[in-house]
Parts: sequence; structure tokens; C-alpha cells
Amino acid sequence: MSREQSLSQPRLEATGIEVVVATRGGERCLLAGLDLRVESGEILGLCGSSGAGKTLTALTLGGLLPPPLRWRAGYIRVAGRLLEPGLVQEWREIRGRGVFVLFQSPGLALNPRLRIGLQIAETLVSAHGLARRPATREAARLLERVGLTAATTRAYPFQLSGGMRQRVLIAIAMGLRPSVVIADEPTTGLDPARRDAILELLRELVADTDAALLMISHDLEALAHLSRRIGVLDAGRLVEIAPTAELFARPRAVATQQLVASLAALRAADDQPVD
Amino acid sequence: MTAERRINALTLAGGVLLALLVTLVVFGGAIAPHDPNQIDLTQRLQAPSLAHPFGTDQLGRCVASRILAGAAMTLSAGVGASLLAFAAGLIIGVGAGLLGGRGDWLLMRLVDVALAFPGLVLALVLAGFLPPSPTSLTFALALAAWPWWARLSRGLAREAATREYVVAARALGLGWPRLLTRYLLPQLWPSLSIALAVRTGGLLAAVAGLSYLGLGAQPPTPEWGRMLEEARVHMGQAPWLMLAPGLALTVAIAACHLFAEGLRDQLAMRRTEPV
Repeated sequence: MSREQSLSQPRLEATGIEVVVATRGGERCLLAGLDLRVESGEILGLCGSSGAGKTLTALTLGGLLPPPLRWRAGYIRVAGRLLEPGLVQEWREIRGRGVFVLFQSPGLALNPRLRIGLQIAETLVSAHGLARRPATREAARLLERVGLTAATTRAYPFQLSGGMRQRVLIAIAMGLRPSVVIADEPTTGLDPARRDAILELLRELVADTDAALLMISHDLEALAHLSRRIGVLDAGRLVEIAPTAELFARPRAVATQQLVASLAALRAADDQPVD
Repeated sequence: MTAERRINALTLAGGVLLALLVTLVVFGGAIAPHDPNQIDLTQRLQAPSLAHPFGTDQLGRCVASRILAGAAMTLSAGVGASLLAFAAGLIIGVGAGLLGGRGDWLLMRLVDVALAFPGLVLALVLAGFLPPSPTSLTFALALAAWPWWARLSRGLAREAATREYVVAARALGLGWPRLLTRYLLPQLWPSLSIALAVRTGGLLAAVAGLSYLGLGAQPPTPEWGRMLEEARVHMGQAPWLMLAPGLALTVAIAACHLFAEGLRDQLAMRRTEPV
């Protein structure tokens, strides 16, 4: 709490974000006036059911919206820069070290034709201007940092499991030391133990680099473990944002009530003895 | 890993033949038993013999020597045209595909117009405008062939750019040169290499065809298509004159197709394995 007050400027500030999709009948609004602030060292959870606009938020904040999607209005302040719709060059400079996006399916996020070590080293060369050899050594160190062996540098992505690939991406994030990390459902398809390990690594990533982490997930339970504040998206609107305890105790928006209720139902079912 | 690298029989056969043809291009003139332009009217229209394995032509020149020396002309014009068209089409197609928008639209309409003409007719007209020489022929064929490459590589590039790991690499802040060489072009290469082998075979036939019409190398320069035309006049008396250039062309075109078929099988085989 004191930290939030001591820092006047948040790491990530998005104000009035509107995203539209161009259709034959004109433009349809998919994100309507999203406002978010994430401080450095903070983990903000963003929850919502499927289709609420979670991935859209990640793509918008990462400057990666593909056409026919279009960022129409609002502004984003990140890494000391002000971004408005229509800018291209600024995004190029910000991606990676400014904003790092951790994608839902790590299997698809790695180049299948490059060995892991080279892939990590290239991002380090590109972001920090490191020479090839130190970058390769750093890649091995980063892999060990996330609980993989240095030998993983020689592996191709298809030789790794889903959890290992997500670790590789977190290793890349640790190497880049971005100001803002946006994690879009980083634990999809992982078993509970692996999921917790990845969440723990994300927590360490934030602790190590003092990054601002926007954690996007439909898994309210995972968010509750990780974040002190949680926002809820519904149909392209941020319907509620509150400290975690308060959100569970007094959910105000309908969408929040539904999410909290379904989680409670799951927990109740867990407590029942299984035949 | 090692099993899938095995080269199959078709690729091997095509490769060996192609290597042989390259040797001919480089050393053909040197290993010819006779001077390919040595006229000896006392020896005209001789049937194949030990001294002249493919006989002699209407001016008493050794046909075998002319085939060997002519390889350089026919093959370098065909391969040159193919590579020129490939390079131009690839740059324009990938550029248009990644650029998108109006530039893409304009370039592709240009390609549509160019593709509306039958390629060989277009090359014929272009070569007719230029002074008759092998260089003109090469450029005329390349000018007629590039739109096909532009269309193909545009489609492939657009598909390649939507792959999630390309988006992820952009999110990592990798620059365009690296994205292009490591993430995009390697995806195009399997399809392009097969097409290149096939199209080169086609252009070899086109070179011979236009030379037959008198548009390429001028007499007395030995050239396979030209030799076919000269043989036509004497078909009744000396049918073997057709045999050598016909056979040489067939072997060259077959080599390209064998190589393409082999590559296709190999790449298809690899694709069925988990990647």
C-alpha cells in the first residue's frame, strides 16, 4: 500500500482504451473505454469469462493488434512514453524491453526451427546489444534460473513440454528485464503442480525485475494467489476492479458474482468426499 | 533427427544429373572432342560414328562437341532467367504481403495483369523488342516469369506472418531483418525450393523454344534449341541430328523435375513427423 502511494507514476497506465473491429456494416466496438493502472512491482489480475476481451487487452497493450482489429481511442503510458492510436515506430522501440507479452500457448510462441539457446540469445543481442558469446552464456544462466538445465540451450522447442516452454519464455522475460509484463493465460493446459510452479516463477520475475505484471486469466483462484488487486472484464468493459479480499467478500458486478459463485461451487465440490 | 535427413533416391538422381549439367556448363567447351565451330563440308551430315558419336551437321561440325559446348548457353540462360524471376518475385511478393494495404493491392493488381498474358507469348514479344542475344532472352523470360513468383510468395509470406511465434517474436522486440531471415523466410523455403526446381525445368524448355524461333543465341554459337531448328531442315536425310539436342534437353528438364519430386517427398515425409 505504501509503495503504491510513494510512486507517483504507474509503470503501465491505460486510459479510455477503445478497440473496434471493422466489419461490412461499419465498426463494432470490442473494448469500450478500458482504464488500467499497474505500479512497478505490482501484480494486477484481470479476470473474465471467454470472449470478454482478455486476449484483446493483451494484444492492445502489447501493440500487436492484427487487422481488422483497430485501436481507436485512448492512450497508454508505458516506460515513460505516451502511446496513442496510429503510432508504429514507438511500438517497435517499446516491444520487448518496454512491454513483454507472455502468450497463452508457449508451444506456438517459439520458433520451431531455432534451438532454445540461440532464440534466447537473439533477444538479448537485440535488446541489450550484447555480443553473441556473452548472450549465449547468459541464455544458459537464465534457463537455470527458471529451473531448467543449461543443456536445454541445445534443444528445439518440440523436444520440450508445455511447462518447460513456458519456463523458457519466462527466462526470456527475465533476460529482457521489461518494465511491464503482460501474461495472457500463461498456465493454460498445465496440471496444478506445474501451474503453481509457473505462477511462482512469475512472482519471482516481478520480485527480481520490479516489473509491473498484468496477469490475465479466467482462473480466479490463480489470480487470488498472485494479485492484491483484481479487475473483471465483461463484454469488453472493465466492470469492477477491487482489492482481492474485497472482490471475494463483496462482488458488485454481476459478472464478478458469477465468477466468485462458480469458484465457490468448485471448492464445495472439492470438499465433498469422492466415492 | 538423423533419419529424416536421409536423402531419397529421386533427389539423389536429380542432384547427380544437375551436378553433371553444371560440370557441362563450366567445362563443356573444354572437354568437347572437336572444335564446335570447325566447318568441314567434306564431312557434312555424317551418321554417328566413333569420331563423331552423334554424327555431324549440315556444315560438317561435330554434333557431340556442339552439345557439350552449347550446354553453357542453354542452361545458363534458363537457370539465369529462373533465378532472376525468383528473386524479383520473392522481393515484390514478400514486400507486398507484409506491407498490406494499398501498396499490396496495387502490386497484386499489377501481377494480375501480368499473369493474364500467357507467359511464353509475353516473353516472345519482349524478346522480339530486344536485340536478339542470350542476355535479352534471359531478361525477357525473367520479365514474363516474375509475377508468378510474386503471387506465390505473397500468399506464403502472409500465411507465415500470422504464425503465433512470429507475433511472439515481434512482441519480443526483434528487428525486421532478424524477423525476416530467421522467422519468415525459413517458413517459405520448403515450398519455394520445390517450385524453383520445377519452374527452372520449364524455363529451360522455354529458352530452347525461343532459341528455336531464332530469338536467343545467334549462329554459329552452339545452342540446343537452335540446333533443333537447324536439324529440322535435314530431318529426312539425317534424323540423328534431332536426337542429341532433344536428348540433352530432356535430360536437363528431367533432372529438375526429379529433384523437385524428391524434395517434395522428403519435405512431406518430414511434415508427418511431430514437430
